[in-house]
Amino acid sequence: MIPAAFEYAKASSVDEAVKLLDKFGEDAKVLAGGHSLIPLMRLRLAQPKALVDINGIKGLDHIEAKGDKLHVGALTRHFAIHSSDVIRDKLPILAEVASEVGDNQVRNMGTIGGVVAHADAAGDYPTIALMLDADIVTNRRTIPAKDFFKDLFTTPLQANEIVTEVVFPVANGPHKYIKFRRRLFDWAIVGAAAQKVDGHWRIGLTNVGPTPVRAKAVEDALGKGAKPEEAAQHASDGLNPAGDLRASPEYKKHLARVLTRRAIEQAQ
Amino acid sequence: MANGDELHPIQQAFWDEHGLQCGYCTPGFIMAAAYLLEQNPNPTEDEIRRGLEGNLCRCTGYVNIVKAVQTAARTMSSTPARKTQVTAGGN
Amino acid sequence: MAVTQLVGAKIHRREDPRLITGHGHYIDDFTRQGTAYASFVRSPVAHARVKSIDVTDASKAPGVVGVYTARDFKGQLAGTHPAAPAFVAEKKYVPERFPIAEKEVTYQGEIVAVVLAESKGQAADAANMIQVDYDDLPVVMDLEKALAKGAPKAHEAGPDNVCWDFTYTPLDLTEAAFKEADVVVKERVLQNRLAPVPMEPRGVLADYEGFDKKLTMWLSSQNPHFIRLFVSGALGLRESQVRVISPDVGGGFGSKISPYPEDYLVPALSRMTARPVKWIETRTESIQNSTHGRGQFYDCEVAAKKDGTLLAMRVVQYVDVGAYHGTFGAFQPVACLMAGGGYKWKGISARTVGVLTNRVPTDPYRGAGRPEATHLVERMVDLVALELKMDPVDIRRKNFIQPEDFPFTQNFGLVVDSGDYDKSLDKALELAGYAELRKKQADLRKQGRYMGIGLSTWIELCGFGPSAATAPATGGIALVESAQVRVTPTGAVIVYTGTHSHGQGHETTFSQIVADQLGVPLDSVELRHGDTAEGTSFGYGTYGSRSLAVGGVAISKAVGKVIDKGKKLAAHIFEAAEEDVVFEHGNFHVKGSPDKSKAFGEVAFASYGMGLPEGMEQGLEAVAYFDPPNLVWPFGAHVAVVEIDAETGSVKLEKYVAVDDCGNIINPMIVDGQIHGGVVQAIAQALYEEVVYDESSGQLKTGTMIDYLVPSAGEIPPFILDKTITPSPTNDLGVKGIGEAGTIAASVAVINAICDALSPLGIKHVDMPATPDKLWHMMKEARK
Repeated sequence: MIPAAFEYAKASSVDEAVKLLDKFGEDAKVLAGGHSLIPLMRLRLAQPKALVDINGIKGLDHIEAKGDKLHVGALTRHFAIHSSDVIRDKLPILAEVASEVGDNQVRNMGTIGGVVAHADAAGDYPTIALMLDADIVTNRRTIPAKDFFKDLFTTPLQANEIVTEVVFPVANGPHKYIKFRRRLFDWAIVGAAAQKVDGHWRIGLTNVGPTPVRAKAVEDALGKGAKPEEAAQHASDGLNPAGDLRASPEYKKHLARVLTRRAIEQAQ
Repeated sequence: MANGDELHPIQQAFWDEHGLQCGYCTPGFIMAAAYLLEQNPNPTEDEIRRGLEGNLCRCTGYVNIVKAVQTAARTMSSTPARKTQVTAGGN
Repeated sequence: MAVTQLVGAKIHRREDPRLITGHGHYIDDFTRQGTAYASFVRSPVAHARVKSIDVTDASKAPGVVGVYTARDFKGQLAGTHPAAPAFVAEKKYVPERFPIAEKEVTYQGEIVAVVLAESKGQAADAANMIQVDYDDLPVVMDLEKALAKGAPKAHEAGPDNVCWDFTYTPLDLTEAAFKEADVVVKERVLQNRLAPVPMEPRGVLADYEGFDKKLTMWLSSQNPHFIRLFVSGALGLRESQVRVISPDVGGGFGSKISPYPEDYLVPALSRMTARPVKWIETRTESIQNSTHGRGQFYDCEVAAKKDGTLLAMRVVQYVDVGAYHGTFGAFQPVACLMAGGGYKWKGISARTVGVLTNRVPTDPYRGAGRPEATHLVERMVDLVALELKMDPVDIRRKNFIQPEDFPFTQNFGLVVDSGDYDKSLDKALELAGYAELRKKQADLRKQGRYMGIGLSTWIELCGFGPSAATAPATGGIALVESAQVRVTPTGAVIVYTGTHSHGQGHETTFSQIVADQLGVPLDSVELRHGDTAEGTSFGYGTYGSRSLAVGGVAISKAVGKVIDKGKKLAAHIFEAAEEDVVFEHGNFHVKGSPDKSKAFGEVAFASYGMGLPEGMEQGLEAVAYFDPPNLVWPFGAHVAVVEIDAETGSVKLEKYVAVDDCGNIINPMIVDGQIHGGVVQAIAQALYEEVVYDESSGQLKTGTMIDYLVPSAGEIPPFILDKTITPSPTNDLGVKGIGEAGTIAASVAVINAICDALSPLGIKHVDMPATPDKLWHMMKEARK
C-alpha cells in the first residue's frame, strides 16, 4: 500500500501545470482530488513518474451561470457542487448527483474535472454531461461530451492537456438520478438519469458499458408518446455490459430498464 | 479535541454510549461525527448513518456510534459554547 | 461474595479515555531504534512450482539490508506449522508447512521471499524488483471436484485432497427414524467464505537481543502465550527467552488466534540481522492472507412426522481447509456436534470432510462452527415447516428441549447446562409483533409485495473449556484459564488475566467483579493482560466466548484465595477463630461485632508487616486456574423482517429483534455492544460479504474493501434488544458467553426471512450472500 516513488510538483497556474507536464512527459499524471489516482498508486496499479498537483491553481473552482449555460470549474469539489445555490437553481440534477458521489471524505476532496478526465465507466458526472450535450473545456480546446468519453478510462486528452471546466446547458425541469448500489458509498452498479429539457426527455445511463450511455431509444419512444414503462423497455437496447462481481450482464440490462422507468416516474 | 481533562462532547458521548470497542476506528469516527455535526447540528438518524458512511467499524455494528452522535448533538445544542470548538475540531 | 454494587451495572469502560482521545497503542505505534522494515514477496499465482528467484536487482536497491528466501531460514526455523486436532481426532493428510515456500506455492499470497530495508517504502520498492519464475500447476478450487478420483492435487506431493474424513455418528444410527418419517426434507446449504477484516491489520515488531539471547515481540494477537509457545519452539529458544506483548488490538474476530508465517519470519530476521524488524500488514495482505472463515457446504436431510415432530438428521459437512491446515481449522467441525440446535432428536448422523484447496487456509472466525450449525438447523427446520405448512414458531416450540430437561445430554454426549427456549422466543415474538407482522405480510402479498419474517432460535456452546474436552483438542494444553491477584501494601489490587481483550472491555468487566468481591472502589483495581512477562506462567487468550466464563471465574477464584488469607490474618489480629471472621463490604470483622472491623487495605498493609500468624508468609497475592466442569450454553431468539424489491431483488432489512440469554450479566452495556457487532457481522454474511476467487485461476477477486463488502452504518437497521436471564450452573458467577452470540444467531434469521418472503414463488432456499442479482435471477426463474 505504499506507492512507487514519484516526483511531485505543484502548479499555481494552468500554464505552469502544462509546462510541468511537458517537462515530465508521458508518464506524468495530473493530481486533482486524488480519490481515484491515489488508491491506484497505493496498489501500484498506477505508477506515474511524476504528479502535477493542480489544487493550488486559483480560479478553477468557479460555478457560474452565463445565459443558458452553466460553467463549472474543473477543481470544483463534489461538496461545493452539491451545496451551490446556483447549481441547485440552474441544473439541480448535478447537485443531486454530487451528493451521491462516494462519501463525505470523497465529496470534500474529489473534483468534477477529475471524474470527467478519469472517465471511469462508473463515474456519475459523465452520464449527465453526455446526456445533456455538455462541453468539456481544456487549456487548448472545447470537446463535446459525445466525443470525449471514447472508451473505458479513455479520452482524447493529450498528455499535457488539462480539463479546466465543464459547461452544461441550464436545465431545471423535472429530473432524477437513481444510483443502484449495495452500500451507500459504493459506485453505481447501474445508474439512470432522466432530465426534461425543453419539453423533451434526456435519458442517461451509468456503468452499463465502457462509457456512459445516452439512451436515445428511450428518448425517442417517449417523444412519440410512449408511457414510461413502455419506453424504459428500450433502455437496454444495444447494451452489452460486462459482468462483474456485483452484477451479471443480464442483471445490469434489467436494472437499466427498471431504473430508467423509475427515474422518469420519480422525476420532479 | 479534548480541553485538558475535559472531553469534547462527542468524545464524552462515545464514552457514555459505548460507541467503541477495540477503539481502532474511533478517532476517525469522532472526526467524521464532528464534521457531520458542524454541517448539520440536529441530524436525523438517517442523516447520521449517511454522514458516517465513509468510515468502517467492525466491532460495534454502528448502533452505539449512531447513538453517540445523537447524544453529542443534544449536548452540543444545549451548550452552544461548545459549538465553536467543534468547528476547530472539524477543520 | 460481597453485596453486589458494580456487577450488573452499566459501568463506563475504563479502556475508553485513551481510545477516544487517540492515545491507544496499537502495533504500528511501537518503534525501536534502528528498526529495519520487512516487505514480503508473495506468490501472484495460486499453484505453481517455483523455478527460480532472482534477487539481484532487489539486493542492490537503495536502502536494502537484505533479501531472503526459504533457504536462508532453513537453519533458523524448525518444525512445521502447528495443526491442532480440535474436533477431528484423525487426519488423513496434513501438508507440511514452512513459513516461506521453497519449491511449490499453493495459494495466492504465499510468501516466497522477504526484503529488509531501512524504510517501508524502500522495502516495498525492492520487493517489486524480485523476479520469480513460476511453472503453473492446475488449481484446486471446487470441493466436490477436488474429491473426485484423479482430480488435480492442491499439493503435488499429497496423496489426494482429503485433509480429513471423520464420521462422528454412522448413517445406520438414523435408519429407523428415517423409515418411520412422514416427510424427509433435503437441502445443500452453503457457507460463504469470509474475510475477518479487523480494522487493525496484523503486524509484528521483533527485537532479538543477541547478547542476552532474548526476543521481545510486539504483535497484534488474541493469544500471546500461545504465540510465545509456538515461536520459541520454532526458533529453538526457551519460552523464558521470549516475551510476547500484545497491546491494544484493533479487533481480531478469530483471525488473530493462530500463529502466522510472519510471526516466525520477522523474529528470525531480527536474530539474523541483529536489528529490530517490523512488518505491518497492508489491507490487501489482510484480506488475501489472514485466515478466512466458513467456506463450507452441508448436505443435510431431516426426517419428521407430519405433526412436526423432528425425528432425525443426517449431515455431511464439507470444509474448504485451504492450502494448509489452519492451526485451529479443525475447530469448525464442531458444527456437526451442534447441528441439532435446541431441539430433541432421536438421532443425528454426522460426518465431516476437510478438503485441501489452493486458497488461503480457513480457521476460526467469530462463532467458528456454531454459526454454521445454527444456520443449518434453523434452515432445515423451516424447510420442514414449509413442507408441512406449519408456522415456523409452532414447529420450534414442538421440538424445543424443555426447561425441566436440563442438564440435557444431547445427541453427541454434550451436556447442555441450562435454558428456557420458549421464554426467549415468547419475548422476541412479542417485541417483533409477530401476529401483526403475519397479518401485514398477508396484505402485502395480495399487492404482490414480498415481505418475510425469519426466526432463529439459536443455541451455542462456548467457554472453552473443560480440560477433559480441550486438552485432547489442542494436543495437550487444556484451555483452562489463569489469574493472578496481587495486593500491594497500600491495598492497590493488580489483577493479571491470561485472556486478551481486543474490544471486549475486560479492563472494565473483570475489574467490576474484583471490586465487588473485595468491596473496594473500581479505581483501586488494575487489570492487566497481553504481556507474557507479567502474571501467571501461561494464559489462554480470548476466543470462543471464553473470557468471562473461564477467565472471569479464575479471577474470582484468585480473589477468593486472597480473601481467605485476609481472613486468617484478620482472625489473628482480632484474636478470634478464623471461621468466626466475616468479610463483607470490604471489611473484616468478627461475627456479631461489625463495629470493630478492619478494612481490606488495613489487612493488606498488615500482611507485609511483622507478627503474622505462625507459618504465614508475608504478602497478599494468589494465583488460580479455573478448569470449568462443563461448557456454557447461551441461547436466544432473533426475528428478522425483510422486504424484497420485486423488480430489483434488493433486500431491505426492516426490523431486527434479538432476545438473548447469556446467564448473569456483569455489564449490560457491554453485552448489548457485543450483540450489536455480532449481529451485524452475520447480517453482512447473509447479504454482503463473500471472498471470491476465480475458479479457474485461483486469483482472489475481492482483495480490496471496494470488492469485499463490509457494510457501513448506512446498511444496518436499528435493533430491538432484550434479554432473558438463565444463570449457568457451570460456574459460581452464573455467567455464559456473549462475544459470538450475535454472529451465531443472525445470518439464518435474515435468510429465513428472505425465504419466507419468496415462498409464494415456490422458492424454498436461498444461499448466502443473498445479493440482488442472485435473488432477481431466482425470482425470474421461479416466475417462468
